[in-house]
Amino acid sequence: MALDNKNNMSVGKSHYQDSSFRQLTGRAEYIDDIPLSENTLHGALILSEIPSGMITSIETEKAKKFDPSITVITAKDIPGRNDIAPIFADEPIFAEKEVTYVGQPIGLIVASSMERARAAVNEVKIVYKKDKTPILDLDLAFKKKNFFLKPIHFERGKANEQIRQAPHKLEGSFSMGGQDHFYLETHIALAIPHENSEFTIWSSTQHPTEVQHGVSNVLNIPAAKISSKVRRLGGGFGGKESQSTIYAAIAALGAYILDKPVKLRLNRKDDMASSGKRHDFEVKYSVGFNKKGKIKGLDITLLSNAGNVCDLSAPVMSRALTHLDNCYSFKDFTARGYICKTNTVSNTAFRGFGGPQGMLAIETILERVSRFLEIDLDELRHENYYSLKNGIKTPYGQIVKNIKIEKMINEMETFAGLEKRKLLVEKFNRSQINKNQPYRKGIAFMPAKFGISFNKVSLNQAGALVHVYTDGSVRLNHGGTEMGQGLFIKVAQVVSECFNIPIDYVHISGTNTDEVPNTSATAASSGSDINGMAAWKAATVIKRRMLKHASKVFQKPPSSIEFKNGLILSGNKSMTFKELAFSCWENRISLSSTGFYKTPKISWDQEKFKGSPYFYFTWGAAVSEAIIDIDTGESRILRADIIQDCGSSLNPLIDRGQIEGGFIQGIGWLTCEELYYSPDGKLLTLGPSTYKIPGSRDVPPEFNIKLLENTPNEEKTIFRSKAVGEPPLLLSISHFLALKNAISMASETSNADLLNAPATPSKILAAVHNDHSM
Amino acid sequence: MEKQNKKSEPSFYVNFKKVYARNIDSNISLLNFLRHNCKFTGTKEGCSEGDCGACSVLIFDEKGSLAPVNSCILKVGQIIDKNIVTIEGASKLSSAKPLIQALNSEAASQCGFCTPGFVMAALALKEKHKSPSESIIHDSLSGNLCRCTGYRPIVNGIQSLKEKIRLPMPINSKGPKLKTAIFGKTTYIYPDSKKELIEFISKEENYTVLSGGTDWNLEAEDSNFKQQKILFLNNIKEMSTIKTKTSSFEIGACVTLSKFEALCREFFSPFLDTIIRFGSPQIRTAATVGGNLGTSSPIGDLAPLFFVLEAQLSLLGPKGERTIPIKDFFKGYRKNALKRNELIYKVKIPKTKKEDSIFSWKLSKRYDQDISTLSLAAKFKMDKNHTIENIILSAGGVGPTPLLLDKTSKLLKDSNLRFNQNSLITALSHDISPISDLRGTAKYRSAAMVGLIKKMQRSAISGEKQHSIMSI
Repeated sequence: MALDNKNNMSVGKSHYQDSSFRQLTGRAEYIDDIPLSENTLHGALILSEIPSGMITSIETEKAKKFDPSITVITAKDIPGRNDIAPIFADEPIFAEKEVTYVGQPIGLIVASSMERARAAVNEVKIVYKKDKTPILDLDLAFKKKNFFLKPIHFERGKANEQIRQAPHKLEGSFSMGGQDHFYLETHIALAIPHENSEFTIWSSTQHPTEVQHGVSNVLNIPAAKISSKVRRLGGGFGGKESQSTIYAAIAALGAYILDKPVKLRLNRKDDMASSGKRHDFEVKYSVGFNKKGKIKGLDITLLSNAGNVCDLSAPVMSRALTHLDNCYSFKDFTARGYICKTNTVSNTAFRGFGGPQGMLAIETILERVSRFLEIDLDELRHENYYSLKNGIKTPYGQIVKNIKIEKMINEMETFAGLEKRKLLVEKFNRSQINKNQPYRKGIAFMPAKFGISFNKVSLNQAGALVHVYTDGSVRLNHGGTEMGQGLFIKVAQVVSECFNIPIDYVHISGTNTDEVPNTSATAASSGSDINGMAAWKAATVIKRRMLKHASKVFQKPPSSIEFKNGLILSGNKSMTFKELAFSCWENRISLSSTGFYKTPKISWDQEKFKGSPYFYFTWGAAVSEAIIDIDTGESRILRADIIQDCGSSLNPLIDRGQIEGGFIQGIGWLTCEELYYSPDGKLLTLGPSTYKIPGSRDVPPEFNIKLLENTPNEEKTIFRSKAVGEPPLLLSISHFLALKNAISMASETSNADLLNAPATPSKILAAVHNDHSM
Repeated sequence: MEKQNKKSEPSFYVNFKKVYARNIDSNISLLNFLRHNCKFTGTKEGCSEGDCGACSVLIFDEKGSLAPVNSCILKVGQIIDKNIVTIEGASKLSSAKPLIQALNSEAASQCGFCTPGFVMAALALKEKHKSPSESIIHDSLSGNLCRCTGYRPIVNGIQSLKEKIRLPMPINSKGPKLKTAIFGKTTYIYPDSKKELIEFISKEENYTVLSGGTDWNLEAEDSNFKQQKILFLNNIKEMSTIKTKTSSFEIGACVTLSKFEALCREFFSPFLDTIIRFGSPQIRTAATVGGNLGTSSPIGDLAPLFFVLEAQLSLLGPKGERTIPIKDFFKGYRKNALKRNELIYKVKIPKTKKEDSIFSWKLSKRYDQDISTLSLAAKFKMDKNHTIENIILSAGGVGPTPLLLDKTSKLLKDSNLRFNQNSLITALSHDISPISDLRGTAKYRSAAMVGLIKKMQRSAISGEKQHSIMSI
């Protein structure tokens, strides 16, 4: 395979995101911008106002009085199945009798404009019989054993015996909050009915195939008649992996019933109330260790809040559990995972997919052990890193190959000057204390290992479709979706490289299930790995045919013919790529091919919780320096240094954007983003006025990023690159550790153990004052 | 016939072309008008509450200077005869192209949904600043959220451009001003003098008073299709201007926060850190001084400042003006001293004397564009021996209304700022009654208020400005 990139036509170059310029001039078309036919109608959702109970009646008279032309659609109008769950059949599009969270869709109002539909929804009254004991938090769900699936339990060695015998032991628990995706474009779908029960569904989704299936099930129409499309998403982050399906299905149901196009665009409030978020977790642990910090035994229990339906909570928990080891070898290890069912919105995929929660758990535990022993956290880590000496087998059985921890640490020392800065931070804090000033700094390093592949083996497949036209232009289509992450340009670079043609010969087309069927979600950081490879395969098939034909034209063996920068060269003869394409057509040679790829080498036994679920690991490391104000609990990140392993990067500019953006998104999760519920289970942070994602000033003023150099992926990935979408988010945990470091130096009485995530001013001040009740 | 209709039809200018607000069935927002009626879909809806900036457009003020504004919470009824520029118009201007190129080169757009809003905010910034500092760039972008890039490429793109951007002048609307305009069942009334205003409030009962609309328009969705009258105040010149008197400033209730910011820059600079965190540039373009007091929120970022400055409010009713001190204005949670058919007309602020020191601190979950969790303002006077002669403290977010901290002020004065922590906590417990909500617990608010008083104390004792961690 020619994956070692000898030509450097496009791959490895910093091309801009494919529609960057159109986005900057307002000409990029999102679903809400698609010109509509005049008969298009608009929907608004009727959402549940209670967390748990039965619907007694839905009163719509006032709404119909407001506008007699509206149509009200509820569960009884569904011709097919009232379910769009991705894995287990437990997720109705409309609550029929029972409601299970505040914000659950109960019905749709269709009107001549979105504003009218929303105004009509305000006139609807729902009468409920309330359940008096809804389960609104993890603790109660755990106590009542309200779980999805059988709890996961896996062991390696004898953790509890080792903990008992260890010189030191600690027990504890802590919690971490969820996170709203806050993609700037809220959920939206436009459903257009055609003749013969065909439907076009435009949906802002990371998973057009699941939209196709959801619509097919709900309408009871074969998938072949449903065309699911998306050109671009205004942000996804996992929030449009499974969550778009319900809105697409609802819009399609409206279009089916009224036989007119129906658009359903959620306003921010409805989007945040009804759609899933990052799982909040609770961690309980006991850990045994020696005086150098070598972990002898570790017993960890994770509780995740799945919300009202299972959705993707099972694979999220699997990823959390398989990232508890991070970069450390634990020989005696027990872990349990409980997927808790509550009467809150269903949680779902979010960049990292449980990985960040698992990694925050172990990093927080190690940080606590280091404080307990009064030794440097990085020295403690050294005792435990995966290495030939410490062991290279994960608790779930995968062998960790090509370990880059030492390389990362060494490069980071030069890059960030960690050891010297630790001393400067201490000096700063001493001087603040002496001068009775309120600022304290903290600094922390962290390494991160992230497993690449979908935890469910079957999802690791992709298709692509490449056409070469007689003018030499190339149309590229694949199953991946573009949500700003730069996937489209990366895959186009692969095709440009394959034919050795300039990048602008390659026309990038929007994702649709007509051209490439049975796609996987663009998720798990896998987009360029799997779609890039599928596109490369498709292009290679065509190239081989073209080469064979060129060999006839030039009367030279194929090995002597070279594709170079849009030309086909053979000795001193040449022709253009366009001439060759035209000549192929004249000679009746097919210029179109599909490509298909499945990730090799992976295996997983969910029942035993054993196997090698990850094709490879990416490596990353970060140093964060934080400052807190002990008068107010305010905090910020002052500096971040990041080294990320992208293998041989397909596009360093795009990868850098993923690293920066992912890191800042993680900072948001761990600091300012707080989902706040009322005591009766209603999310109160339903918009950016109350739910605060990082702003431009929240970015570290000094932000240094480096891609690890000369590290082609040892596995045969597309041009030896590595996935980059999620891994950088996990590095933000370094900032959380830096905050703990600052708190631990705040005063004699401060208690960094009290800090739960997100580290809001309130929580930081509570830890500074060592006051649990604050 | 058609011409005559046109004269009485509400109109404004989008991208330097006149547009008429026709065939409208409700109290429509500018954003929806641009997207649906003008088919300018480059302007996006991200939140519809003026907090994400995706809907930002530029608006020219009467002097031809340009500012970003949130089109999602601005109604068409509020911008009659105004000039609006959207991304479609801006991106065609040759003067804007270098900025767009610079942003493209830095990969400042990933998913792109926030991008047009950022371009608008950046244009407004670059029209005023040739080479803005990073801090000024953050101030200018505080009304725009991006979820993809982590902002650095956007900031770098703006920084890489070293020239000011010149934008064309707005079109001057000629001819008589509209007195009323109808949008569906909503009627806007546009008085342009105090006399007309008094006439209206003397005879009408049910109407909504509107100026910037940054608060009221958030809730407007419920009333957009209902029969309602909106009394729009911005055309009354006296209400939109600041008059400088010998010993005071008279600030019209419709003076925007942007204008007030300019005043602070010159005369109340210690308040500036708080004022430039009032909403965002987009919000401050529309939001008004009177509006902030009139909503009577428990926080009201301006109120604590006005308390310590001992502002007087001029309230206008059918029978004319009456003046009350601000401490008598707030009556309870979202309640105030306005009588039926009365509105805030002006705010009079005495000038501070040379020997007066002022202090303010806003505390919020996020530094920029966030509602205060609590806030503190102080004015004090020290004599030559560093003894406090008098001190006024006021706080927001720690009771049902913004309030004076009388007991605490007394403690600070009596102890000459050398109080012990317990006596401070006791004094505060008399003054404040915080509650727990999504911005912080009651206990947190009490503890943080102690922290803010300490900051004020340090500032008074050292005579040095206390810096936030966001500005060190």
